[in-house]
Amino acid sequence: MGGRDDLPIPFALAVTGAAVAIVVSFLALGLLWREPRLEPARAGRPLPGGTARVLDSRALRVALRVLGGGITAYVVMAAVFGRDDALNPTAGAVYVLLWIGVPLLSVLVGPVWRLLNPVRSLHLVLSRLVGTRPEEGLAVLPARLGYWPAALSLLAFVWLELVAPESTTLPVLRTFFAAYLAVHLLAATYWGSTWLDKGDGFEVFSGLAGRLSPLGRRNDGTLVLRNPLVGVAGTPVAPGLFAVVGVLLGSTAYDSIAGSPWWVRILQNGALSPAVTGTLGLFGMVALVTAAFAGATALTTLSARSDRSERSERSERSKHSSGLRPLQVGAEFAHSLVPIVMGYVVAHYWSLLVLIGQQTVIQLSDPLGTGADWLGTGGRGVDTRLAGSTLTAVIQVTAVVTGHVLGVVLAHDRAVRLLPRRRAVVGQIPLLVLMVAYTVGGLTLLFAA
Amino acid sequence: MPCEAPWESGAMHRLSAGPIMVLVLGVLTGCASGETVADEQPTPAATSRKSTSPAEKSSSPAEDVVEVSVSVRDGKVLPPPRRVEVQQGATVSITVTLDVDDVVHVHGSDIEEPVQAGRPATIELVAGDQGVFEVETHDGGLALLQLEVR
Repeated sequence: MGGRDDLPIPFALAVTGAAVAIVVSFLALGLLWREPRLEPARAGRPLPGGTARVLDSRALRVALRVLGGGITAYVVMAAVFGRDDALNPTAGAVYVLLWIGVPLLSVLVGPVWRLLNPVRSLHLVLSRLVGTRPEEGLAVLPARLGYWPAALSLLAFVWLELVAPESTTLPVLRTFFAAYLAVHLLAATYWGSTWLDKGDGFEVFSGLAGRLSPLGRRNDGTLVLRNPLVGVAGTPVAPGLFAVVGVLLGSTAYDSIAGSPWWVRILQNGALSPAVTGTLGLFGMVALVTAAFAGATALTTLSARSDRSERSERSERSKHSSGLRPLQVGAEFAHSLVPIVMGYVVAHYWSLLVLIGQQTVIQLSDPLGTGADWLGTGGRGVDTRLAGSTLTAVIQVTAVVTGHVLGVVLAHDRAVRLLPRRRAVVGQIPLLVLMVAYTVGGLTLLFAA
Repeated sequence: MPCEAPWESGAMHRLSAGPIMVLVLGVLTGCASGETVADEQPTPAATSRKSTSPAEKSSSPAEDVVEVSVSVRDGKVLPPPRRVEVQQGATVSITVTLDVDDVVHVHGSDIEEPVQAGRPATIELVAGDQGVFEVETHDGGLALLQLEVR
C-alpha cells in the first residue's frame, strides 16, 4: 500500500529503546505494587450529567450510524463506479482510514466502530423491519468460542492486505467486502448481534484499541474519564482474545519482514508461488507470536501450580493441581498485550497514516475519477512534515517502548491478582521475557527490515 | 543506426498527480546497438552502461548519477532484489532489461515505463522524499530492486 516504506530506524535509537524496555521491565518486577490496583468496577471519574446525556443520546447514536453508513456508501460508490487506478480512494479508505485510522481514533475516544459499523447498522435496520430484537438470533453463540471468530475474521483481512495478489484493485476489494458483508450479516442474523461483538474483526480491533481510551464505561455503563490502564484491565476475559492479539501482532511483524529484500528474494525465487509463500510466512508469523504467548502463559501456570503442590501432598500434583489451566491463564493475560499491539501498530503504520491518509482524503474528493472536487480537498497537497524520517523514527521507538511499559504494568497487576502471593513475581517472569522478546524483535524489524 | 523513439517522455505529464514525488528528469529508451542479440537472449551483461547519451547528460545536474541495472529472465530477477542506497536529491539511472513486454513502475512516483522484451530501457529520476521505494514490473508483479533514499 502506497509503495513507500520507512527508512530503517537508527541503530542507536533501536538499542536505546530496547535497553529502556528491558530495564523498566525488571525494575517493575521489584518496585511495582504487591496488591492489585487496577479496579475497573469503580474506576475513573463520572462525566458530568449533561455531557453523559449528550454522549448517550439517541440522536447522537443515530447521527453516527447515518455518518458511518454515508461514508461507507460513498466509498462503495468509488469502488463500484470509480476508475480502477492509483487515484481511486477505495484502497486508501480500506487499508489506511478503516484499518489504521479507526483503531487509533478508538484509542482517543473509545470503540467508535461499534457505532459507525455499517454491518451492525444494517443488521439493526433489518431487525427492526422483521420486528425482532437485534441481540436475539435463531441460536445463542456458544460462549466457549469467545473471540475466535474475530481472530479468523482479522486473519482473513490481513491475508487480503498483505498476501493476496492485486489487493489494492477494485475487483478484489469489492469481492472481499461483498463476502465480508454476506458472512457477517448472515452470522448476525443467526446468532444475533452478539456475533458482531465477538466475530467482526474490525469491531473487535476497535474495541480493544478503545480500551486504551481515557473515555470509557464502568461495567454498569456509567461514562467515565479514566486511567487507560484501568480500561485495558477491564477487558472481558474470554477465549480466543490472545489469538486476536496474536493475529494483530504477527501480521504487523510479517508486514515488516515482507518489506526486506531478503524476504522479497524468498518470495520471488522460491519453489512455491509468491502467494503460497506469503501465506505460509504470514500464518507462520501469527502462529509464532501466538505460540510464544501460549508458551509463556503455560510456564506461568506451571509456576503457580508448583506452589500449590508445595503446600499439599507432592503426589497430589498431577491430580488436583488444575486450578489454573494454561488457556485460562492465557485469557487472563491477553489484555496486557493490547498496548504492545497498539504501540507496534503506531510504529509500523505512522507514516502510512500520515501520508496515504492525507492522500486518501484528497482522492476522496474525486471518487469517480472525473476530475471533480466534491469535498474541496482535491487541490491540497500531502503535508509530509509529520512523517519526516527523524520524527518518524522517534515516534516509532517511543510507541513501541510505551506499549511495552504499559503491557508490563498490566501483566504485573493481573499477576498479583491471579497468582498465589508467593508466586506472583516468579509467575510473571515468563510473560516479562516474552514482552521483552516482542519489543526487541519489533525494534529489530524496524531497524533491519 | 536508426533508433526509434530515443526519448520517451510519456511519464512526464503523469507527474503532477503523484502523491509522494520522485521527479522524473527524463526517461530514455535504450537504443541498443546489440539489438538483435538482445532481442533473442537478453543477458545482464548486455544491459549495463546503455543509458548515457549526450542529450541526457546535458539535462542532468552536475551531480553524481547512481547507475543501477537489473534484468529479468524466466521470471528471475538478476541481480536478485536488493536495496540501493541513494542520497536525497541524487540522480538515479535504472536500466531495465526484460524478456517479456511489461511496464516498470517506480513506487512513490508516477513513473510507469513500458519496456519491450529484449530492449534495455533506462529510467532516470531524481530521488525525492526519504524512504524505501520499490521498483517493480507491473504485469509480472516482480520487485526488481528497492531505492533507499536517505
